Amino acid sequence: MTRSTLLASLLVLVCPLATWSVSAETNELASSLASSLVRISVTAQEFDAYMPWQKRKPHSRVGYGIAVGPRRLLTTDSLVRNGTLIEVQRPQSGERLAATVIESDHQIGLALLEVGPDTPPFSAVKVLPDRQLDGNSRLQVVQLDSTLALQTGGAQVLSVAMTSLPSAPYPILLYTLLTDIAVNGKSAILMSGDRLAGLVLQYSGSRRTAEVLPGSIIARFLDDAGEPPYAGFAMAGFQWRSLVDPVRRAYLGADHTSDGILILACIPGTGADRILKPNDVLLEWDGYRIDNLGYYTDPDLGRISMPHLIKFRRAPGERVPLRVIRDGKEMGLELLLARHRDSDALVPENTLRDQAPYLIEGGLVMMELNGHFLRSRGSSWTHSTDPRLAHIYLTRATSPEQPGDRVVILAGILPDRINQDYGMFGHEIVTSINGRPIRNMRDIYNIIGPNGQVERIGLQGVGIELALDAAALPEANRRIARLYRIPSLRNPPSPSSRD
Amino acid sequence: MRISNRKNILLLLVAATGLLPTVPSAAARSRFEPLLSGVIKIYATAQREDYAMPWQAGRAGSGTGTGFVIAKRRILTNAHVVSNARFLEVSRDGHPGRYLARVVFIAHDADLAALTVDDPSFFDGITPLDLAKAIPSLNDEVTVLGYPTGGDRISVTHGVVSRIDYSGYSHSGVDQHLVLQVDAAINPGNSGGPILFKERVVGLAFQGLAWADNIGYAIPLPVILHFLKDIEDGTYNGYPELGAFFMPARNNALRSSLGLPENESGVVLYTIDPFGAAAGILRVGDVLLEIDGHDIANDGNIALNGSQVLFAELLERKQWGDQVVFRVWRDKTATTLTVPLASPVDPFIFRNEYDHRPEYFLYAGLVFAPLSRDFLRTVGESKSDPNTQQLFYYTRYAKRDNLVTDRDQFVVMIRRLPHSVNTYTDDFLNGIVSQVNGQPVGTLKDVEAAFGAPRKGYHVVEFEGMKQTLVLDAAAADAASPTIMRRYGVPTPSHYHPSDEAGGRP
Repeated sequence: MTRSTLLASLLVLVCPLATWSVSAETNELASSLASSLVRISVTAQEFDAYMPWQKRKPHSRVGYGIAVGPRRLLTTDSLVRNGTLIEVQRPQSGERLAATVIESDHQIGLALLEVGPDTPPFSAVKVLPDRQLDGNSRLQVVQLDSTLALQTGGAQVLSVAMTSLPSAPYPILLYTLLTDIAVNGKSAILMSGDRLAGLVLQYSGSRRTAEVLPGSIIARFLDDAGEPPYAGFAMAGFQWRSLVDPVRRAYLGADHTSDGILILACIPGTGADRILKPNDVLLEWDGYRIDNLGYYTDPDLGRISMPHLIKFRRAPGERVPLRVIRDGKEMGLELLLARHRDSDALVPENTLRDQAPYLIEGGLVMMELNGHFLRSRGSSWTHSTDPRLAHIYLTRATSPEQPGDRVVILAGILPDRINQDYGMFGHEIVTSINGRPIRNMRDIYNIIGPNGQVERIGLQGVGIELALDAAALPEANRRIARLYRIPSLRNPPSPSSRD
Repeated sequence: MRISNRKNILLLLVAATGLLPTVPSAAARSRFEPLLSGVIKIYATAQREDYAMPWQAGRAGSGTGTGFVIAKRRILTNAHVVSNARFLEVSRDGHPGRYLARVVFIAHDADLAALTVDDPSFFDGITPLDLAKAIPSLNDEVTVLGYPTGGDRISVTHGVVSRIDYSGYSHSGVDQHLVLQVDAAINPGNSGGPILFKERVVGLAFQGLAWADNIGYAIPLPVILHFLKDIEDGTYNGYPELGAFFMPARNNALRSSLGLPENESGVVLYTIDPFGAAAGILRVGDVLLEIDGHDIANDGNIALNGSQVLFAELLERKQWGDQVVFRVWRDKTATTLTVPLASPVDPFIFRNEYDHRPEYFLYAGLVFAPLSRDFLRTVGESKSDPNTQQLFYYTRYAKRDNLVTDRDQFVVMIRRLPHSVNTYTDDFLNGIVSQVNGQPVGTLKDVEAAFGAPRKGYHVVEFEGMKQTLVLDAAAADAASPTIMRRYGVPTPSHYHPSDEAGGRP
């Protein structure tokens, strides 16, 4: 026997021993979850950011889900997004059952799956209603090992904070936990006794820390998703900054207190628009005092950053009382909460990497600028991106001047004789089509109608319009579609595009 | 010891080659040797400015280059050899003395400079080099003279003209002129050296290309002649800028949208620079059909002396005060327009700056300076910061997005010298100032003036694209300024260019 095979067999022997050596309580937990926990295998395929008429190479992800109903499974959105095939496996079973996403919220990072009616029912797990997880909570991470046997390990809460993850650049309430097993897939389950306490969104193997979405948010999501239409989580629609500087406080007439944050701007069309004003100092939200760094004292969580107060303590459609200092005077206001949608932005993030609407006319590819398009160039994307587009994204991505505004660009030019010499205008901003001003892709489709075509394109800062030969366009479009193998030259925005 | 041994070996080799000369014909030698006397070595100690801390100078460094003597006791070399020079000396091959030199004219847009030596004895026995009448053709064999790295004495290399083309001049960072590409070895120290064809100067070696072999660039004769003609009146004005961006008039739909007849050819103007000579005369949508009587082809070329060159080549030969006549297609008819080439100074060219101290103004530990290419180089890689990224946007799109209205400079808050009076102002670093105390900011001097008039005891600074304002306590800021200057070693609170030294000059 060689040295390495000896080592391998030793490992096999040692591992089961290690899991057996935990307490009877754990054993009980493992057997109770046998009909609740599943492994989820996902084949996913994203759309190409530059050529949205085609998809990128399919890839696979593996993670976990937990039953929240006889045929319903909860998992993280980042595991199942853009799934072309989603299959679930019960512990110690080779059988793969197809599942479909029935609701997902990528800002919160959760998804609800459903399996077919012929599947034997799962036993649903109850969600921990208690918000007060702390360093003394007895928590266990549950996952499957390589033999598909249930595996559990202890976990301890280190901190709780509003955090942004790369998979969803909107801050959400996350617990950071130290785990004593290595988490081996996305969306591992965190249990407190027999209750679901959270889902692991992100795990660091080197630090053994897991970022966990807590049960309180999961419960909110499940309540909402169980009763369509899905209402989502609230957004107020203002940008703010901490307000510590005593000079600025005095200048704003807010020096009689040390509380309150500075309102910078309101996003048009949101609840804050026309209620709050730039240079308002927001003192109180929904009865909670906001300090000058933007923290409040949550009755369940303690001191935490204000976005949690806006997002999770109230729902879209509710009215919230506020107190502000405006022009040196304290006053009461009321604000209507609405759901935050990525599609409300001037430059949507498109973290889902969904298919962007586009129009290809005479080889000119028109698209709305989005975060996926810019960030597909890699971490140093600002260096290789046109500085005007980068500037718009970095300074006012979330702030359209009017609701529905987008930045339409010539995302690419597929060379053909009909667009001869237009190649130099790549990444320019499209401002008009056939002589009429446009604000988004929908305007373009409205202008040309079902059978029309784009014959003139106006660009920002370019004095002439790019003209396309109207008579030659149909033939050129057929030629371009054939040569560049584009299945469809037109992809209008859907009537209610996903956020 | 080992080092000096090596030196001996080198010397021996030199001596040995001296013993075994490949004897050229006596006639060729007698033609060539006087040429060498006019090729001189330039020793420059230069000091770049520190754009991150503009109140103090950057490090000094020394370098050498080449120059050559032409008529009127002038030494022609590259601007980059003598830019920012603090101490300038020249020497001749085979002569022991070094002579103090000074810059008489410098053209940063063309990377050329004319020096002179006040001691007349320097020129004794020098035969000035003759300029050729025309540039050589492709594949003509040229000789490069100079003092490149690898030895002290003059060096001679040979090559052919590989290409004649338009290319960027890296010294200014923004200008484009004709260049001569040769495959002769051109190395550091060759800069400013003459390129000879049939014993006459046809170019001046000036830059190489990284990651490429046998590509050396020379400033060709027409650019040199342009410089010499420009300085005849005692000042260097630089190249006039037409300021019109054009595209070929080849696309059929574009042609028919402009109503351009089949038999006409030219280029279509799509953007007019408000600071260029064309502003107010040419318009977007105009098609340039002819320049000074030469037909412009659809790719922008004209036939000149039997070869095809870009029509801009004709503009390149013009001086300020000259004019250019276009036949223009406008509103579906042809018309003739004359553009006088006397353009005002353009502050938004963003050339590399040389030979003057950077401008700045310091107040309450906040350092304000005009946006410049040199400052952008100091911020380098932090482009994902929105404020810094905005600087690149303003530099590139100043004119096209009309960001220049009512301004002569973009004033940037480039640095904070920390003091408790400015503790909460880091959000504004690298922001472009739009207003101070309600006064719009068009130049750096506007900032200083506006800080003189606080409002109700506060200074309020607003920035482009930023939704919050910087607020300072005026009395505390006034009191802190001298302390901050003393603590951080800032000798004077501001520096402005003298009025005859405005930005944007070539």
